[in-house]
Amino acid sequence: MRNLATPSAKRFSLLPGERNERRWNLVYTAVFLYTLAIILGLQAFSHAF
Amino acid sequence: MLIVDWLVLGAYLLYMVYTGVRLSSKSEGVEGYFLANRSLPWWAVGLSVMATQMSAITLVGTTGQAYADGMRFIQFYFGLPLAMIVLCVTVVPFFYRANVYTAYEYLEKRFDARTRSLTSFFFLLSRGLSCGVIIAAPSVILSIVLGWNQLTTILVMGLATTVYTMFGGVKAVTWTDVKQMGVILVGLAACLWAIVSQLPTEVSFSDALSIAAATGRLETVDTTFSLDKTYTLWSGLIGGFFLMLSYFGCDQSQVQRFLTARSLNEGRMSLIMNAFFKIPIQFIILLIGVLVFVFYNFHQPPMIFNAQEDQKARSGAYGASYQQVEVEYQKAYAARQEAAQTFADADDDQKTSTRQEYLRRQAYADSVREKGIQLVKKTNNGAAFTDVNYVFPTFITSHLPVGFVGLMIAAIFAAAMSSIAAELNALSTASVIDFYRRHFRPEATDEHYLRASKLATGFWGIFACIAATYAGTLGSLIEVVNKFGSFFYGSLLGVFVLAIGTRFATATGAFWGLLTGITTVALVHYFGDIATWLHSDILLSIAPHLQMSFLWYNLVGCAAVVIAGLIISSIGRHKQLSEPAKQ
Repeated sequence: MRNLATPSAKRFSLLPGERNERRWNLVYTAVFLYTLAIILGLQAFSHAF
Repeated sequence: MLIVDWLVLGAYLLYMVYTGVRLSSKSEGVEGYFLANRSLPWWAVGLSVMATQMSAITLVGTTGQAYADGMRFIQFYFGLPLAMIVLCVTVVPFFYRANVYTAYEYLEKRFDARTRSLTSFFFLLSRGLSCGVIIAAPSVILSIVLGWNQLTTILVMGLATTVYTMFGGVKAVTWTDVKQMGVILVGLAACLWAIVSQLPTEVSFSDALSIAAATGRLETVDTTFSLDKTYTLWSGLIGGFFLMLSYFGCDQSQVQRFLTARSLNEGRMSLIMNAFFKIPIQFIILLIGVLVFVFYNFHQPPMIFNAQEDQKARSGAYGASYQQVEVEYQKAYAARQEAAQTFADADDDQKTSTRQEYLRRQAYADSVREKGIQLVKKTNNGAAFTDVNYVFPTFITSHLPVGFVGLMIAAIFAAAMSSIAAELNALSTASVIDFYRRHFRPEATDEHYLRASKLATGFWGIFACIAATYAGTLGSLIEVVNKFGSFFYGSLLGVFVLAIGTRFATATGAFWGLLTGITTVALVHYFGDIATWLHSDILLSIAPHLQMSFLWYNLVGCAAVVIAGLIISSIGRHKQLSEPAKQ
C-alpha cells in the first residue's frame, strides 16, 4: 500500500508508538476517575439537603 | 466604600503594575518576551491558566446566576478534565516538538502558510474585539456599584494591565496571574466566611443549604438529554469537552501559557492541575452565589440590584407604581423571612409542611420582584434588562466588613486583569510572529522584533480600551463578535484534529475545511431565520430540530471541518495521483 502522508504530515502528526509513558497514563486514569467521582459527588450533594 | 477599602484596592493595583514593570528587564529577546525562554514552573503556569480562564464576568456573572437559578452552571465544566487528558496526549507534545511561538505557527509546519494566516487572522479578529468586551462588561458593573465614571473604570483596568503586559511580557503576565489568583482565592474564602458568619445564629450552615435545596438551587446534575437546554450533564460532558479542547488547545491566549513551561512534562502538569482544581473552585464560586441568596432571606435585599436602573425607575414615568411595588416587595420579603426561619427551625416531621409554606412565599416574593422588573423595562421602553450581574457586587459593597470590600473588589479587578493581560500578550504574539515576522520583515534583528512586540501589545491595549469605551453603543456588533467566536471555536479545533489526528489531510483540505466548518455552524445558527426568509415549509419543519445550545456548536463545527477536510484532501490526492498517468 502506498504511503500517502507528506513529509510534514509524518513529522507533525500523531505517529503510532509515540503515546505517553506508563506514568502519565496513570495520571490520566486518575483524572478520569476523579471526574467520575466529582459528578457522582455533586449528584449526591444535590440530594443531601 | 471606606478609606481602608480604597487603600486595599489602590495597593493591589500599584503592586500589580510594580510586579509587571519590575520583570521588564528580565524578558530578554523575543523568546523571553513571548515564551519566558520556556523557564516557568508548572504550578505558576497552572495558576496562570486558571486565572486567564476566570474573567470578571465569570466571578460576578456566575455568582449572580447561582443566586437566581442555582448551581447547574457547574455542568459546563464537566468536559474540562477529560479535555485536559486529550490535550496532554496530543497538542502539548506536538507544540513542544514543533518549537513554536503560536498554535497557528504549528499549522504552517504541518500544512501551509495560508492555513496558518487564516486561523491566526480569525483569532485576531474574534479575540481583538472580544478583549474590548472583557474590559467593558465588568467596568459597566463596577462603575455603577462604585459610583465611578465608566471611562475611569476602563482606564484603570485596561491601562494598568496594558502597562505591565507591555513592559514585562509573558513573565509579567504569568507572575501577576499567580498573585491575582491568590487575591481571588483569598477574596472568595473571606467572602464565604463573611456570609456564613452573618447568617442568624439559629441558622446553621446545614440549615442554609436546606433552604437553598428547597428552592432547587443545589441541583447540580441534570441527566436529561436535550440539545436546546444549555446546562445538562451531556452538554457539559460532550459540548463542554469540545469547547475546552478548542479553548485550551487552539486559542493562543491559553496555548501561550503552557508553552512557557520549563519542559513538556511541566506543561502537561499545568493542565493536569487545572483538571483537578477548576471544578472545585467553580463550585465554591457558585456556592457563594447560593449562600448570598440564603443571606438575602434574612436581610432585606433591594428589589432591583442595579442601582442606576432602580433610580431611573423611581424617578421615571412609572415611579409611583414602582414605589408601590417596592412596598409590596418589602412585605413579601418579611413573610418569606419568617417562613425561612420556621423552615430552618422545623423538626423532621414538620419539614414538609414548613417547606411548602416557604416555597409559596418565595414564589410570591419572586412574582412581586418580577412586577418591579417589568416596570424597569417599561421605563426603558421595553429594552432588555438583566439584574443578575449586579447581585454579587451589590452584596459586596453593602454587607462585607470593612477591608473585605476592598479585597473583593480587588479580586474582581484581578479576574478581569488576568484575562485581559493574557489576551493582549496572545494578540501581540500572533500579530508579530504570524504576520509581521512571517510576511513583512522576516530578516530583522531580535531587538527589532522585541520593540515591535512591545508596540503591538501597547496597540492592542489601547485598541481594547477604545473598543470597551464604545462597547455600550456597539450593541449588535458585539453580539456578532461573540457569535462569530462561537462559530469559529469548534472549526478551529477541527483544523487541529486534521493536523494532529490524521496523516492524510492536506493543506487545501484544512483551509477549505475551516471555511466550511464556520459556514456550517453559521447556517445551523441562522437556519430558522433563513427558512422564514425563504418561506420554505420544508426548511421551517426542519428548523426546530436544529435548535441547539451554543455548547453543541463546537462539536458541529469540529465534525464539519474534519469531514469536509478529509473529502477535499481525498479529491486533491486523487487528482495528484491521476495527473502523472495523463502525461
